Amino acid sequence: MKPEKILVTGAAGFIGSNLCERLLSLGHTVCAVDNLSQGTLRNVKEFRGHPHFEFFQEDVRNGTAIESLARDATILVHLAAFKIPRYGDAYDTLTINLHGTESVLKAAVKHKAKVVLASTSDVYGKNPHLPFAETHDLYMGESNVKRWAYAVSKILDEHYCLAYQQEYGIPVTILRFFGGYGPRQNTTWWGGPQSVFIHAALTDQPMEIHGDGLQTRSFTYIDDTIDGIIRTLFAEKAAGEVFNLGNTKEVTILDLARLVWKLAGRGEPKLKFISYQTFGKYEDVRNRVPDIIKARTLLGFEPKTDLEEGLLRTIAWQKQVTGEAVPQI
Amino acid sequence: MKILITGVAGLLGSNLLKELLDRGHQVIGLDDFSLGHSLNVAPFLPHPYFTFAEESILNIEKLDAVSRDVEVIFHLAALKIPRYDGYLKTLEVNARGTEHVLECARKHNSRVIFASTDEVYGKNPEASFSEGSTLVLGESRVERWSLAISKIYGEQLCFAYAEKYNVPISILRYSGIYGPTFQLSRLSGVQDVFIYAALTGQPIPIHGDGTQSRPFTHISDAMDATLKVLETPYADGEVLNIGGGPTISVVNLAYLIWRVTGMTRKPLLRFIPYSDFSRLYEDPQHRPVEGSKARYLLGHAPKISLEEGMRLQVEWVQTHLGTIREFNPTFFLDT
Repeated sequence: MKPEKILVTGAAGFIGSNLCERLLSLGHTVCAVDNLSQGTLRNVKEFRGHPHFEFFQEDVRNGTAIESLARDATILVHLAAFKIPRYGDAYDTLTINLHGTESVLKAAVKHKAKVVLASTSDVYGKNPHLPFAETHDLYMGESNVKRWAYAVSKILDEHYCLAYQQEYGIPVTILRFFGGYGPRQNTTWWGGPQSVFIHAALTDQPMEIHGDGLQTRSFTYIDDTIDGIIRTLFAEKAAGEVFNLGNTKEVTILDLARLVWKLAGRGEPKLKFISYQTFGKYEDVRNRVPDIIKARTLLGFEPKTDLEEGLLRTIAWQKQVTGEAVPQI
Repeated sequence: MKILITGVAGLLGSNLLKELLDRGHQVIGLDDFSLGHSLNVAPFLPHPYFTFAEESILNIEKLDAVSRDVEVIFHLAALKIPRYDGYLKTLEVNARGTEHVLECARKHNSRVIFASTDEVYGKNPEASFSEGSTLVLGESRVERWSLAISKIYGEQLCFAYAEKYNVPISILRYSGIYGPTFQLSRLSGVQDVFIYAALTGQPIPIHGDGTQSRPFTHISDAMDATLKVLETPYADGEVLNIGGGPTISVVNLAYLIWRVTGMTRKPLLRFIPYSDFSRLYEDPQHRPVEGSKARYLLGHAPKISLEEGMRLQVEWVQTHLGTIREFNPTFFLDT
């Protein structure tokens, strides 16, 4: 694999920082972009001084800046995004995700670069047919439920990418991530339920379960996600394709909470059930599991880290960064 | 009132223009003629209460300039079929264009009435679609869904502007609107292609096996509902299906049109397999849109039956065939 210059947006985020580190270790030059709205410099500090790494605090919506930073880059990995507006405005989610993707695509056209777009398992929405394959339908709830703003903006982004490929001939690949976790994850709700559960377990507070906790998700350890991304970056046949990247093991949120509590070395788990009604007009997705046959077949992708092992590493990391003590058994 | 119509030269836009001028409103109309036709607005150009601007909604400066002092924006400008209008262009006009309109409405305190489409229900398998039904899109690699996702994005953005900036919004999901327009093609609706074929004695081109069914709504009924939305406070913050009701299979529509045109010979049909369009083409089998919310909330009652409506449409096309051919000789070549 010959060394390339790769631009990563959202580079100070969870996936971004882990990807940058891996790319550097593979000998690539990384141009890291993040506006630090969600990401943090702490995530990149371990390799900030690497000779092939440069960090730019810049908003991905700034098209001029992105275009100039992308000079000589052969691949643009677009991870910067605003997620589900649980507390904030749907406006930010909708506009940031469209404008950011447009900036990246325009820069890619200018420099004839390849684009890899981070999409999400959330695009399958309320589809009742499991597991989700890339050809499956995308079920969106009502337009006045802002929870869907994230999925809607990402489906639109996917179409923008495919339309740019058709119009300008730049290769694009779309990756739908399923529930990533691991070191450098956001330690609030933004990072997913495991983040909050770990925090609760480490501080001996009740774990908040939304609804009855029997909704299922799949959780993918960050090393596996990064492995999947790396495989798509250099695969010729990834152009114009959509891939699910995730672990296929399905876990209920309740079991996840109990497992975190156990691995954190606590006794009987403390649970606090919260009704969805407290979120206003909200709809949760009941079950979510990826079908990864396509990534397995075309890319040789295979998740290797099981949930228990991944959570142990994640708990150790979260304990270290938050300075929270794990009780001795 | 001072009212802006984007997409004024389209089917909905030009008919709405007439209704609003008849009611004494002052209208500013915007269109770049990418889809609309200049003949649709030509009769109104001399009207003292009408101002026309030939411009795209992608030009936000111009849009901003014409939307000053406007109380209501009817946002009808959109591209519909990526196969004809361009994949990227469809996304840009529908998503970015709608953002521009909402941005101008925020600045100038206007109300936005947004034209969406029953295409947003997509492949929903339910037996009837009400406004709360799930919106089911096929996979992103199928271009067709760019219309639905860009319109759903527009709807979400309307609610986002209402939430963040208190912009008053209403969303109208129009179903199979047909009526007089000089833009006659697949873009104005399948009925116009069928009418043209029948009138010129050519086989009626049918996509797939023609068993797919669709609702059809005459423009005068669509106008009645649209004007009621303008005139009542009930539609604020609401999504409304406009039209809908009984659906007809595409092949039965072809029979109906053939009979209404008074052809003496047996109907000629030509079936075009979907595989001719694209490996990945998808066409939902049913579109059972339910219009009862508009009926009860607005007191809107559709009056024109399908048979009567198609008769009116056939008459109109027959009368204007010469003009249509003169101004757009290639309209019907692409089926």
